[in-house]
Amino acid sequence: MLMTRRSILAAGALMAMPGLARAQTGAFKGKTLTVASWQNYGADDPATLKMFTDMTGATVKNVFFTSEDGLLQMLRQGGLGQIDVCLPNLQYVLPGAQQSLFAAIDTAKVMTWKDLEPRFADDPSIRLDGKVYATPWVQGATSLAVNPTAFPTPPKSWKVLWEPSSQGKVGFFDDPTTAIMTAALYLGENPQKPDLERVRTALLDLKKNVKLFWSSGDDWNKAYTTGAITMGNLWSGLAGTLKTNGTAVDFVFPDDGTVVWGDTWAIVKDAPNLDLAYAWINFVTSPAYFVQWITKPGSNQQLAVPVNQQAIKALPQAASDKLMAGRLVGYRGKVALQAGLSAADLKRWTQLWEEVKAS
Amino acid sequence: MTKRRLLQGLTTPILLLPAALVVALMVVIPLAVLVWYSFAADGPGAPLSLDSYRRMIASPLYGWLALKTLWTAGIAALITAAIAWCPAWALSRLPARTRNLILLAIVIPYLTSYLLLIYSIYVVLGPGGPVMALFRLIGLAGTGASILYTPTATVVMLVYENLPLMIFVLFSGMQRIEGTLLAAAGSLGAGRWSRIRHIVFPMSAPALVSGLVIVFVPMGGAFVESQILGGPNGLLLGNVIADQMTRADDPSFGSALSLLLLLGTLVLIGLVSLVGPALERLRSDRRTRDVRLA
Repeated sequence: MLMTRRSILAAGALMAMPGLARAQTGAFKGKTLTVASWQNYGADDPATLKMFTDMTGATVKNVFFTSEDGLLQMLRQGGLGQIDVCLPNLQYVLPGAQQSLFAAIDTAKVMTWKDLEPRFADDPSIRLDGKVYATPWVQGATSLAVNPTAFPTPPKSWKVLWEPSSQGKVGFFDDPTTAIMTAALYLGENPQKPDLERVRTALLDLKKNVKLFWSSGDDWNKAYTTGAITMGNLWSGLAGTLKTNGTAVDFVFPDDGTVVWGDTWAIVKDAPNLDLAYAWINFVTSPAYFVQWITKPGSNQQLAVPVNQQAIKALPQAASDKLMAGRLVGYRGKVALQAGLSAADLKRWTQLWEEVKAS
Repeated sequence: MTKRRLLQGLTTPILLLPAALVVALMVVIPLAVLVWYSFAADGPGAPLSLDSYRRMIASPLYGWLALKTLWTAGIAALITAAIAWCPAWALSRLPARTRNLILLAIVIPYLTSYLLLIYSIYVVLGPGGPVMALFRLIGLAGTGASILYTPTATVVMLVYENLPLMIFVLFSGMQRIEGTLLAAAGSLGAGRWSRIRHIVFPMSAPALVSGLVIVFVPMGGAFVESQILGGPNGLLLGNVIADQMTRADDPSFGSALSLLLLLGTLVLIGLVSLVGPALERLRSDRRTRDVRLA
């Protein structure tokens, strides 16, 4: 078997796990960690949970939420003191911290912290009053996707979605922050603080070209593979999966910038098992965890790129390509990070998006 | 004797109690919470305000969306009734054994998850599906055309979802129409159309009104159908309410919009409920006039 740099790193990472396990098994045996996350999103995968139990001796109880607001609501309505760790999206870390739902994280206890991409680890949106409230976990881009048959030369700008010739051919993600940031990039505005009236006009113009506001990968797949749409914005992981499965799609990081999202792990305020919560965060941000989750058959393992740079290196090349990890991490253009919005701004943006859709 | 009379007097309230409790728990209390939330724009603990209603009235968008939603639901309900009427009548005249088999076949889609139904309609209405193939064949559509991602697709889906329910309601009403009544009318010289017009239709009208109301209510609150099939111009008020309750984290505004939809639905149901008795009065007046003339 040909040993590549990636496979050596992956093997090394896996071999490092038992040592950690021996060190921690006694301490957590018989304890139960309560984890709030999306269903089928890495935290409830039986094989990875077995790894965690083998490593720590503790078991995991999963509780699921179906929206980010649902998570905050779950914590507000009895989750504090019951749930140990949760998985907020980057843009919900600050609202959660401001509502005192998360505990401050001691980054010295997160062994992988030094390996996290600085773009995320240094991001102000995980900080409040100088304290860190979340550990960045995975990322992805929502960038431009086009059908190569319709575009033999891939477009280089978001402008293509606004062209009159694109009428009825665009699939656009039904998400306020993605929509407003994409319009801001197209307009050359600051994606974090755009002129909302200019954005509204641009989105109303875009709507004339939109065939479908998609809200799940399945929505996009159906419309794209039946030819109902030939372009739009799409998650990087989904584009990579489509390409790997033989669907012709070009995924473009436009010159005017791209939208990047991130998911994080936060420790819930008054977590009953604080040390075990740190053990979980160390586990799920480790290269060994990502190699297991991303390369073994399971749910949604192909959608997200690790924020831990060592974990990306540990992935087999095929898995990394499928995730478009190299292109995403190596992208040096303008990045609109979906983070840092205040609750009031988030509400205003959501309102604007609703009005555009309803107009 | 007095004890027995007292017990008899209590029987009805006791029998009604479980249903009353269910209605209180499932309807009255949630509705009261909805009303309360609609005035709690700054959160459940904050002083009550009219902000959500002011916001709703300030933009013509929501009133227009409510009308569009009620119009869509109304059209879908009428189409459902038009399609369901004939099969329901035919079913009511069939022998019990055959009828039960057909009813079983009709109930299957109703017991299927609505998401599965939506995705099956997706295939049927898609550019390569049978509906568009037929439209292409008769020259009504070009290659690659589809009614997917249009408000029409939403209406088709709402009709498809609610058709079994409408058939059942109409069938149960029509089943009570005695065959002897029709035979008597026939023996007096009434033709088939005349019997349907003067006997079957008036006697099944209450079931028709009930059916319209029963399917109209869920149609008015639909949002998944329009989300998946309705395209960029298919947004209904239900979609905005769902977004306000989840993504926008604004249950107060979502509650105010829900009450707007509820009010609109009640007004329309009230109007529909008035139609049946009004028609009956009209018919009765005409009959009296005809008898006097005779």
